[in-house]
Order: sequence, then structure tokens, then C-alpha cells
Amino acid sequence: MFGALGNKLTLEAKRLTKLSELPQYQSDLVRDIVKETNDLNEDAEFLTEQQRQQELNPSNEEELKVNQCQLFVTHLHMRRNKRCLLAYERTRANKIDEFCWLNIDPIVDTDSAPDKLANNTDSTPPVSEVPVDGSVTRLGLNNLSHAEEEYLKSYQRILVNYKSHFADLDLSGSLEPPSNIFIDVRVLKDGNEVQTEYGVFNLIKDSQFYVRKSDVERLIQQGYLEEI
Amino acid sequence: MSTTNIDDIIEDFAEQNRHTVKRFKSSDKAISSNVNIYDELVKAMLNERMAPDLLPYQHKLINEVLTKLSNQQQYLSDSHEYGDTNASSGIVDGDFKLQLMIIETEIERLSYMLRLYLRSRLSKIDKYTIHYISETSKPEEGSQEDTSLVSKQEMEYMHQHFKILTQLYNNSFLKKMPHFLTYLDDTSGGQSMISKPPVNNHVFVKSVSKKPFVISLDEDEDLELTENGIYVVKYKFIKPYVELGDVVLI
Amino acid sequence: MALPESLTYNLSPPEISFLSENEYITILPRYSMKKIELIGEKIPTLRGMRRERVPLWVALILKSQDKCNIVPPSWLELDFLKMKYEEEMKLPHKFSALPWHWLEISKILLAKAPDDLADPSNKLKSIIQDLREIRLVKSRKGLKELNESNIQLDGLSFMEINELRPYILKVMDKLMNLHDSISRNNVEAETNENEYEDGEASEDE
Repeated sequence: MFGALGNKLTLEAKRLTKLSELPQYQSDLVRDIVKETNDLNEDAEFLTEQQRQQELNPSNEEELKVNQCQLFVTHLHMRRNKRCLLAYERTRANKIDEFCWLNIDPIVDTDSAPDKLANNTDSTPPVSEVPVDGSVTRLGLNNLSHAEEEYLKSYQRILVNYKSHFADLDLSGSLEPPSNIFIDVRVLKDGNEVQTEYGVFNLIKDSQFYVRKSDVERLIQQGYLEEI
Repeated sequence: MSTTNIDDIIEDFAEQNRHTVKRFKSSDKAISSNVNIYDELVKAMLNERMAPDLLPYQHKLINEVLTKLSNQQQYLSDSHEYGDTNASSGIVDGDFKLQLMIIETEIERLSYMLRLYLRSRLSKIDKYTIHYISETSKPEEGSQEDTSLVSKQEMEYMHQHFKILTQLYNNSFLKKMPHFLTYLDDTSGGQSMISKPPVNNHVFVKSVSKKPFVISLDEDEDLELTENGIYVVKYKFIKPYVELGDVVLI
Repeated sequence: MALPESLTYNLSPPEISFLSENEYITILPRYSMKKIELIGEKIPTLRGMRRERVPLWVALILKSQDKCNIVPPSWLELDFLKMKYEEEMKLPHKFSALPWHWLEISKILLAKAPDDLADPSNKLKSIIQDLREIRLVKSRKGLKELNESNIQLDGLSFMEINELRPYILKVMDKLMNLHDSISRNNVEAETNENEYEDGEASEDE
């Protein structure tokens, strides 16, 4: 059917906007669409030639009209294919861009199939800051095409360059509002001395401190402190 | 000639000078000391977040925020050092620490807003790359360093990003396609491939102008905006007033 | 993209709450403290029991360390809010004037400085909830009158507007598209033939 392949790719593009990681590149489908487009172009060239012949001796007007119509649809079909390919690749590039902004490493795993990536515990999953549908949180390198892999590297370079103009800013930092930078904590169990930029405090059970959250996150995880 | 005349002249002259100084100050929005750059940044960030197209880069404001942020960070780290060396002597008290915490909080708040401002802009540049490349290559654009639509860094980013995207399309499929289909700025076939910012979309605005003013909408319809009034209008009708500062996008 | 889709043309509730912390509020310092030179604002030297106006986020830090009490804004008061509720009942087509950040600021103060409020927290919470609901019902009703050109929403606060935003924008942009396609159809009917020929010409190459 006309446009069936392109449609399949568009649906895939739409599906992947809602995923938190990039699925396998559809290289077969892309190749088929490119081939279909080239076949269509041959048809178009043939039809154009035929039309020229018909115009030289305009005997059958009906035939000419049918030919014109067929040529028109063939062209639309080719352009549609191109748009589908562009839309697909652009959607994937957007995901790659978004991933690069997270400033974390992609997953390099040559064995695991795309759908098994979720079980891969080797790589530390990034801290998901905004649990929103469709936000990229991880990226498996082996799901990318070769061209995409190149693109990923280049975009990372562009970002490093752009961010270098704003060295004090941490442009890849959290997009959640910084509302609790300092917090009150209570010590749950005795421990060692803790050094921070804001001075030294001792982990003595039941004592309380006002501290920078990022300084004590680990101690909270380890159960030494709790946020009040 | 009496001396009073000369005094008058001197006083006149001084008076005039005061006026020119004042005028100079009020025209120089971002630098003027009575404008709070924190508030200015909040406004710039919200406008940029909500506008469907790119607003002119706030050169003066952003440079000033960046300089002040860097100075303040320097002050903070110097003070921490001071705190460390004097911790045992009892000179440093709890208040000193608390003050530094307030300073650091402000730095974090400003950095966050600046982050959103810059990244909102990049995301629009990414969405409408070809459009902005052609907008910024017009002769009147970029002639003046501090009024251009995009910053130097954004310009560089935009061109580099477009280049690698084009390479990606070419390597993935375009170069294997019939030649006449390989352009990215194709407008034939009844559909333009260049996406443009949706300036017809509606936006929420709040009027901040003391004086009421009237804007014209579609089909000879007018709308009067009064101070603190909230309206939903098509962006293209309100854009000039956003740039003038009569309304803010919310 | 450089900014996640969820944050384009949209603000999250935590963001609006963050912005509300930029509003000024009066504090009553309990102790003295030296002045602070901030980038946006200079916090003056604080002296015990002498009122000052500072940004809410500064007040919250001072409050958390028992350095001050917060003087609640005059509208965060049971009698006043009840009066506003009466107003909302009386005027079905108008929103009573409440501050731009009334919802967020009351929420923040109820959570972080309940001891500074003049009235019991639970009573305040319930009248705030009532006000919020009656205004929500009203705004939903008002939305029935949406058209494709413009609407006015005076009296609503930032948080309330942000909640209505996705719906209003979707409807108005949709209406605009319909409106445009009707007027375009009229024009197109006349020019259709020309366009068709142009299209063919370019296909010929």
C-alpha cells in the first residue's frame, strides 16, 4: 500500500517520544524506505518520459490525465517518505541531545538486547530528577546506528564547548527548583567527625545541625542522619 | 555683572548635569542601581520560557548576572577559608555561617534561573534551527554586539548543531536518496520543511504598565490592557509589548 | 532537547512555589545580625524586634534557625479570608482580588511558620480550601465562554492560572485553527486552480 512503510516508521517515532531510553535503530525499515523511494524515482522518470511522448502527439487525452495523476502521486509519495525519515531521525536526535544534557555516560554493553537493558545492574542508573514520562534517563550505545554514535560524540563536544562559556553555572545541573539547599538534620547514631565547608561537626546521637543538603546526602543514606 | 549671575549659571549648569546623569541612568535599564537584577532575571526567564519564539538575548543583564555571580562565589570561598582559619579563635560565630548560607542560597537560586533561561533559548534554537539561521544572517542582525537576537555562544552552538544534524541525516539516508530530495530547506511539494515558531499561539500575559494601553487584534478588534490585568492573547499581537516591558509573559 | 518537553511553555507547581519565595514579607528579628550584601538585594542590619521587609526565602532561612518571627501578611487571616469567600458567593462572575501568590505563600507559611499565624492552622487550611474550590468552579464555568481571540482572567493567582493553562491554550489554539481554516477555505476556493497548476509546474523538473 502507498506509504505503508513510512507510516510504520512514523508510528515508531511517535512511540519513542514516550520512552525513557532509546530503542534499537530501525535500520531495516530505513533501508526499505530508501529503496522504495529510489524505485519510485525510477517510476517517476519513466512516467515523465511517457508524458513527453504523449504530449508530442496528443491523441488520447484520457491517457494523459491518468499519467499526470500517477506522476503526481508518485512525487507525493517520495516526499512523504523523506519527511517520515527526517521525522524519525530528528526524534531520535532529540532524545540523544536530551541524554547529553544529563552529563552521564551511555551504557556500553555489547551483549544485552535492547529490552533487557533494564536488568543491567552494572551501570549506575542516573538519579532521575524529574520523573516525567518521555524524559530520557539512560542510553544504550548499541541501540544507536553508526551515524548516531558519531552524532552523539559531536553533540557532546558542542555542549562542552557551549558550557565552557558559563564555567560557574553548571548548566547540566538539576532543573528542579533549589528550595531546600540547607536542611536541619538529627544524628541517629554515633560516628566520626564530619568536615564541610561550613565547619566541622561530630556525629553524636540526638544532636542537631543545620547543614548543606548536598554535604550530608550520603550520611542520610547510610542512616547516620535524618532530615527533620 | 554681579556674582550672583555667575552663581546662577554654575547652578544651572550643575542642574543640567544632574538631569543628564539621571536621564542616562534611567535609559540604562540593566545597569541602573535601582533596578534589582534578581527581579530582572526572573522576568527574563519567564518571558523566554513562555514565548513561542526567541526573544532578543539579554546581553547586558546576563553579563551583569554572570559577573556578580562569579564575584559572589569568590567572596563565598574566601569567607569559607577565613572561617576555617579562625574557627578555633572564636571570632567566627554562628551568624557568620548563617549569612554565608543565605549568600549561597541566593547564588543557587540565580544559577537555577539562569540555567532555565539559557536552556529555554537553546531548545527553541534547536526546534527552529533553519529559521533562526536565516533570521540571524540578515544584514541588520548582529551588526551591534549587544542587541543581537542570539549571543555569540548561541550563534556558534546553532551552526555547529545544524552541521552535525545535517551530517546525521546525510549519513543515515539522505545521500542514498534521489538527488532532488536531499535538501533540508525544501519548500516545494506544497509543504515547507522549515518549521517556524508558532507565533499565532496564545500566551498568558500580565500587564505591568501603569498607564492603560490598547492593542489591536485580528479583524479590527481592540483590547485595552490595564495594570495587573491578566489576558490570554495571540503571541504575535503582544510581542512588541513584551520587548518594551509593558507586559510580562506568565 | 536542551529543555525537557514537560518544561516548555509550562511551569511546574514546585517552580511556581519557588517563584513565590521571591515575594517580600515582614519579619520581626529576635536577634541582631549584620547586614548582608546579596546580588539582588541588600539585607539591612537586623536588630531585635525591629521590623524589616525581606524576600520570603531569606525569611524562611532565618525562621528555620529561630532568628526571627514572620509577620503574616494581612490577608492570611481567618476573618479576611471569610470575607473574600462571601464575596465569591455574591459575585458569581468575578474573582475576588487575592494576592498573586496567595495559595503558595499560605501553603508555605502554614508549613514552616504555623506558630506565627494569628489563627489556628486547621481553620485557615479549611477556609483556603473552600476559597480555592469556589474559584475553581467559577473558572471552569467561565471557560465555557472561551473564544479564539482573547480572554481576561483578572483576580486569579499565578498557581490558579497555571492549572488552567494547558486546557485554555489547547482550546483556544484549536478554535483558532478552526476559525482560520474556515476563512482560508473561502480564499482557497478562488485560488485553488492556480495553485494546482503551480504545483504541477514544479513537479516537471
